[in-house]
Amino acid sequence: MIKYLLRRLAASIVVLIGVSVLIFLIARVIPGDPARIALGPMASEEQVAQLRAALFLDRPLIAQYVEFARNLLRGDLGVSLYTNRTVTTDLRQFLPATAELVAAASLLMVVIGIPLGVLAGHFRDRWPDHAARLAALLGIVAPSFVWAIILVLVFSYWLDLTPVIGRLSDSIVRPPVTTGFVTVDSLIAGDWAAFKDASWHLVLPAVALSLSGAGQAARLTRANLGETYGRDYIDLARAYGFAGRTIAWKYALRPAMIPTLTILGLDFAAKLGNAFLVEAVFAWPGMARYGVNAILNKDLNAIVGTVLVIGFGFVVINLVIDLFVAYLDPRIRYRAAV
Amino acid sequence: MNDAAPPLLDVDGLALSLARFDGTARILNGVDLVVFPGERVALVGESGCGKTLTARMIMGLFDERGASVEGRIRFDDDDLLALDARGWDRLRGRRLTMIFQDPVAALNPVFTIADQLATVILRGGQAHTRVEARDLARPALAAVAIADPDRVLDSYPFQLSGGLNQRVLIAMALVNRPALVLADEPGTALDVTVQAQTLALMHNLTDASGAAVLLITHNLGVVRNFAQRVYVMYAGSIVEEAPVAELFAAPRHPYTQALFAAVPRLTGEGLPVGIEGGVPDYRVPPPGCRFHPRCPHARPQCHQPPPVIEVAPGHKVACVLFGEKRDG
Repeated sequence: MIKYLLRRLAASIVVLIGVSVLIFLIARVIPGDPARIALGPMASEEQVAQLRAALFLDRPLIAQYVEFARNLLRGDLGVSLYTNRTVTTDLRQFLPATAELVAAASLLMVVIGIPLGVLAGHFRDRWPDHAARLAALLGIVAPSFVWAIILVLVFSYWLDLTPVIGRLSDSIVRPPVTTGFVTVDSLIAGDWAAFKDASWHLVLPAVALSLSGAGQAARLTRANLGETYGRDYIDLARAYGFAGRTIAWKYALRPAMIPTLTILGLDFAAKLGNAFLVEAVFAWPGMARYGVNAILNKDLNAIVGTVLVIGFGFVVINLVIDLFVAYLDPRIRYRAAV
Repeated sequence: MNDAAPPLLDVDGLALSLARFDGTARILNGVDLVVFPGERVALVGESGCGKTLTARMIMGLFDERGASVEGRIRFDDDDLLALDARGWDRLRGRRLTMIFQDPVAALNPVFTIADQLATVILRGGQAHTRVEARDLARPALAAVAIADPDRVLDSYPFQLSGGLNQRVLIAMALVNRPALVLADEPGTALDVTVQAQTLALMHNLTDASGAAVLLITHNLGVVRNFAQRVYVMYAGSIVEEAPVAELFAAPRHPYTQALFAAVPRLTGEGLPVGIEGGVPDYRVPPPGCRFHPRCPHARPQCHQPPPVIEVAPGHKVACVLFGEKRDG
């Protein structure tokens, strides 16, 4: 297991280096001079040249990358030309909101999607299956920002149940920051009012972001469970009288989760990108506006920082999924050990 | 066998048709079969003759939609074709167990042997905790000649050889002291020596425990040393039944004779003789005796359902050839 973990870690580092090179290059081939954009049309040529030199933009690409990598290793992503703060400061401010949204949506995706898939797979071709499949399809057909708008319409405007924007009501004092997740922070602080308010703000965006993944999870679970149900070992479990529930949730689900999770890993990670549109609908103070502004203003350091964080998120989520799959599948653990 | 004792398992006129998009397949065509307590019975037939299906129906594993079933399956006092979930719960894994064909495929790949065996033992009611179940699992594995039960218990199926997995399945089938074990081609997926060991183990263990066995196999060779009585099945019907020695000494049905001719021999001259033709299309089965299109003795009467003739005590043949030799 340790060996497997180390090998996966090494592979992740290679991927991260690749991502950093790629995003570094892409940011530099976007047309337009970042120094000129940052300083505006009124700045003199000397000022622009000065800024270009300060940003190492007048040096060859290789030298720029070496400089960039050296700073990156120190945890320095440079200064945003737009906010005039270090990119790490900006990320520290915006990332936790996005991370909280993505984590909540991922959790919902699992707790909605997988039981729905088990229900469908267990009652294959009977009415619970048809109902679950229809629900899953509904989740998938509309992109998450469409769901966001529908949910706001129904629950905020018509039913007046949930808040429309932001992470907390103005009347609530934000609990001290420990994790950056308002819900978790308020729990740590024992502030129930804040927890309730934060959860209430979180629920619609998280549901909107989770639905397509939940539908996908349900369909994958159903398909893989159906495949597992055809196996001899499920016949054996039935022949020995194991309860239908035990078979569904234990002896069939566990092998079925292995291919399901491997594919779902990409859905978890894709939430980081999809979150941008949901954040826009709910005015969620996350990475969305920051990232979009960075691109529009050709704010090189901010673009690179944002994409690196997302790439890092992808890699970490996939690593966690791989480890969880290895936990579920002894064949992976033992093959890696020899 | 003591014919006075009521049979443990009584399959009576079992027929099964499956509605498929391309027509109705009449797969089982009236299977009659009994197993007495403690008896070892073999059901022999070539692939596709319906013998595995018969076993699955006895076990209640066949639940395909569009199937129409006739006949009766009695086990003890239960009508298995009308049994509810509680009834199955009482029988499966307790009074009635099954050994599957491919031991590696029959064990769940992501759970340890200990987990899977313990679940079965806990159902048997001899143990109430996982620790107690493990204590019972050890001697159960030792009984199937596994030298290091603890290592096997802590292994996953893919870490064990096919032969070891097979023995785990035998232990699983016998640990709750069932009245009847259905053995569907045990060891066929493994090599010949392992298969022989498997049958020898099952023979000795069921002899000791008094469990009856219904062995399903396509291999006449393995039947001789294992079973006391044999049923020969062809295309969904029983064509011949006889005590094992009687069958080997004097096979009567042309299909049984052809099966014997097809068995390779080390001592005989020449190659074994195959049977012309193939298993019939179940959507349009031949009328009457289903073997007659391949039978060297076929005659016009074969288009009628064949009579079942008792040619010797306990030796019955479903064939018109023996109509004149009726001795009862």
